[in-house]
Amino acid sequence: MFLPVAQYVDNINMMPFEDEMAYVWYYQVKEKKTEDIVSTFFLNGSSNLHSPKSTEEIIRESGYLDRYISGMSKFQSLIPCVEPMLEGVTIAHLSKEFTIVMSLVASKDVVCHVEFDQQDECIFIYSSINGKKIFFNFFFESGNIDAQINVSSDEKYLSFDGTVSECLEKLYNEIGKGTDISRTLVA
Amino acid sequence: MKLPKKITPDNLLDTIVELRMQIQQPLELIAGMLAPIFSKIGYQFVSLPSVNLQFSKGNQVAIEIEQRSNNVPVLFVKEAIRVLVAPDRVSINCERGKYVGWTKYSEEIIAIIDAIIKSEIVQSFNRVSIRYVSEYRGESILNKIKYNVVSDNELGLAPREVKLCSLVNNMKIFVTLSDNIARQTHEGETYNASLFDVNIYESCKETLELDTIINLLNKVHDAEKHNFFGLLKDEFINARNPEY
Repeated sequence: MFLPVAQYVDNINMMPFEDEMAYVWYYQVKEKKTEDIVSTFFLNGSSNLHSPKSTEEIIRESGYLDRYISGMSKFQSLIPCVEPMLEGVTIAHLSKEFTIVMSLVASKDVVCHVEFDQQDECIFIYSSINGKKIFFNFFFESGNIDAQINVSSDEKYLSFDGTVSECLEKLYNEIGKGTDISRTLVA
Repeated sequence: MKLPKKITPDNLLDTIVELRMQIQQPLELIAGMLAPIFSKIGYQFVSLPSVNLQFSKGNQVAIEIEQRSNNVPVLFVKEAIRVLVAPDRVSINCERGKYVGWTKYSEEIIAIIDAIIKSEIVQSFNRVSIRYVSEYRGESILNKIKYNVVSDNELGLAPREVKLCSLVNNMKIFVTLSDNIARQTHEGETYNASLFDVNIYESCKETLELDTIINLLNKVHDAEKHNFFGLLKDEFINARNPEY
């Protein structure tokens, strides 16, 4: 016996189930963009029911985590090189600042590259957002973490100095408006 | 039905194993309690962002960076395997494209569960879920399954996503087939692909017995294979070098 999903939801407490696959197909009901398919999910009809994340959500989240782990692993591998040069900056502090940037990079980056430049005493991250090349630098020679973000595109070159937060705010003000970097980043 | 142990290529994107549990320690202590035990089995702690980073497009707020609540999951990584521990669950996955095979994967999962039990952070486990998502680039999945999906052409609509569900005793099975949808690579390149998502879970009485959890894990994994291979046509499986 095949059970349409709609019945499965409506009668979940009373309907006896057969040991057979119940199936139904869904139609695409709205299409905002070619890659953004909005379907009807009857299984999400009630908060009391099992409401699995969609396939796309699962893939997107794991992809984000993949990129984040990749960047963080590179960063952690640099710690032994950086440690002797730190003056008054704790690894925890550096790590916190770094994770903020990695969150941004992992969510939207095209290429992510992390390296330690001993001559400049900085950690360097390269990424790309919306076709603009972005270089994050963390300088830690002065006891505080100073950040510098350089952005280059075909049209212009920009450079921001300050704390990580200040730099990201300047970055947003310059390139964020009107582009698709709007999202909340959570692990 | 004879089920293959392995197919090549496996086309797996995600291989998530999740156990629901009740922990008896505050989450902020979990990383510290788990790290020494996990490091003995080769897992390294990786810090996750402890901040929310939000960009807003409106005129009011350009950027918000705020300290998170204490619900940040704890992450451990060993080569291709990562473990996320949250207040109510432990979730294990392989890095994309690096599935290690069930024999090795299940050994790692059992070692992880054993380590969690020994850490005494957990009160009990009560559910095992397995979710495998496969991707087939440039292929339609709906004509590779054993059932016919018919659409009403008068409406001009075509099936893009098929959801199948079943309840077998206490086991809940959800299969989602996304057919020929537009997807994007990490580098921004768009392509068409089909997705085959098999999501199965079974709840159990609250337990801390490793053998009970292993049995349930194997049972759910058998169902995962049964529902994946059982839906696919034989010629599709045979074209992927099955090993029995």
